[in-house]
Amino acid sequence: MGSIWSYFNEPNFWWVLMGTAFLSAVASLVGTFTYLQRKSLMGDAIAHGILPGIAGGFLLAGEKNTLIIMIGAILWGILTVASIQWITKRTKLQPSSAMAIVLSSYFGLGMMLLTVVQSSGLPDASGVNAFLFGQAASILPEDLRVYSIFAVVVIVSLAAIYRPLTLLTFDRASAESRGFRVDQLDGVLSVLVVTATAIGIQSIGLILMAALLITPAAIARMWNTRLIGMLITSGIVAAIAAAGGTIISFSAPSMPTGPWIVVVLFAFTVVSVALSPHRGLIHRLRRRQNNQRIIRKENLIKRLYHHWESNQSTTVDDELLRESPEYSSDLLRRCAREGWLKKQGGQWEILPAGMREGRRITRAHRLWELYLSKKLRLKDDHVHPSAEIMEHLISEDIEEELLRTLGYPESDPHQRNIPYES
Amino acid sequence: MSNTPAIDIHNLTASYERKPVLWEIDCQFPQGKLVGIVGPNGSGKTTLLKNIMGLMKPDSGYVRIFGDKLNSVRHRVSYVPQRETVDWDFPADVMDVVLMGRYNPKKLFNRITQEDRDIAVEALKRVNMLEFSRRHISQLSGGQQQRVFIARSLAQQADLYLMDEPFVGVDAASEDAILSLLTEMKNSGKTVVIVHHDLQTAFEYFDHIALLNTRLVACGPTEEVFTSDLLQEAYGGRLTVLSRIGELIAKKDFPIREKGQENN
Repeated sequence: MGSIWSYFNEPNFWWVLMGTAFLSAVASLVGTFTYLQRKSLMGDAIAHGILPGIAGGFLLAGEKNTLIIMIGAILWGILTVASIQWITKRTKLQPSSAMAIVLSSYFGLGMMLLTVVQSSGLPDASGVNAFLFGQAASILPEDLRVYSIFAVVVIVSLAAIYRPLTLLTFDRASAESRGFRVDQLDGVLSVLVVTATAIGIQSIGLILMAALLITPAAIARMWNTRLIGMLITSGIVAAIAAAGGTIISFSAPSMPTGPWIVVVLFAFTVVSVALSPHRGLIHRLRRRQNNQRIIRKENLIKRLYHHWESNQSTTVDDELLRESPEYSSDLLRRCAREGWLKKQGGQWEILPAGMREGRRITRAHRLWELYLSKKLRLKDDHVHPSAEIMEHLISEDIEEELLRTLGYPESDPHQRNIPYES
Repeated sequence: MSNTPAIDIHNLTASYERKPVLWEIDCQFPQGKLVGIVGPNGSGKTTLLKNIMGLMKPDSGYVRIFGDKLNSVRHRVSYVPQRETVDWDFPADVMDVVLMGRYNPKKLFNRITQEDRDIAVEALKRVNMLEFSRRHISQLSGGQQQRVFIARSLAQQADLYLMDEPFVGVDAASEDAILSLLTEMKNSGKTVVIVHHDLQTAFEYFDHIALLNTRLVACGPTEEVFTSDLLQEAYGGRLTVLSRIGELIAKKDFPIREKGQENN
């Protein structure tokens, strides 16, 4: 065990850990804007499209010179964006088709160049594979310095155009009408995406780089309702995922980093889909359960009110209640807690609050039946099923509007009395 | 208030995908009035607005705002797009959106100052939405979203406001709030131009109307424009020759003007 964790004592490990976390966080900030502009696919196209730039940079420098490789990657990335835009504009091809064509062509070209590099006999030539899937353990402090300088440039540029870019993302027409230079902003964002992609090539690798641009943003969206919170969350998520991938990369140097980062991100995604407030599965499940509970409770009190309607009696035998489908001692206890019912001996007494509630639900039911019959011209024997559910949904102001529309009616389509509070 | 028209549209022809949808529009909107751009669906109302705001380039003709080119008076003009054109699921609350009205197109590293916040609060008050300022925009009704859009526009503190269908999908309370605000704006000397498709209400709302159906049917004070003849003309259908020649222009890739004549 001791040997696996020994890298904890190496200063290089901590530099690389913090470095990849920082680079990934920066990439995810840029990715948040592409995510919100629904250009997620663009990130993937760029990430694959820059491969010829990387291989070309390597050949040009004659060795693994990070700065030259970065510049090659960025220039080719810009060419990738320009190619996609040119094809979309000049032909009738859809943007997605243009992206697919450019992505695969440039990636193919890049793979060819990569083969040339590998058979070139240049120093470090075998290391170029690290750019495909990422290998954090192979990052040297001087590489990190180069990547970080570009990352800082990205952050500062993003801060400079943060507000115009926000407006553009939300409401393009408004931004343009006010004299914001929308074309320039688009261009700057594209260059930022290219640069953000390029700084991650060695830590995550270009094939999976798109995941780092988009997934943290998608996760952050599930937990935030404001852009600023979304940016912070996606930065943190990306940093944690990158740190996780880096630790694994150092533990098992033969293992590529990128796939591990993506696996960590996927775990975050699953947890978010399940737990996120408002949008999460568990939240929705609980809301549905809650609805069922309300329906059962209201059905019970409605039944008791109907009992009063036919017998004019506010007491009901426990025996009689047991026959109703929604009967459960738990349900009765909850109704008692609401102040609707009180148990006296073997009998239940309906309290005034319970009467009021039963009357309200009965009224909603019958108003809805009348509404369907009068305004939607449904047959009288078709209106009951809908009213069974709507009675639980009709709020005070909808009831008020129904009453007004129907002119405070006396009876429903089945000639039953519509009960009002006196 | 000067007599210069708020908007002067001169011989404007504009097309979508090469097919003309507006023919030779020539009219003026006076300052300090509520102006309606009225016409049936597909009559080119939104296109006209987009041309005024420089979001489309006309094939011929030009627009002057307060007697000037748009670029030199942009800060005096505010545009409220149709509500459906934006994604209301965007991560922002009401205050965030209204503050967008304070962003400065001329500056990098935009900052929001306390003054900007005060202006935004004031704008929200005027549309009766202050209590919702921390509500996420997706949780608002259609009418409330429209009011937020108008508040953002007010925060720009312009003199001329152009609104695209602000009454579509709006509840009664929001409609009342918007209407009384419009009157208030007019009384303080602002000009408001509104794209509107409903004839019934157009007569009550506007002082001045441009009646449109791919060509300008009439433009003037409401009483003069609302005659049965003119309304019949605007709502009685397209001119078939115009549609046919428009299709020809698109099909043959023909120019709208000969070279050198684009501005006439």
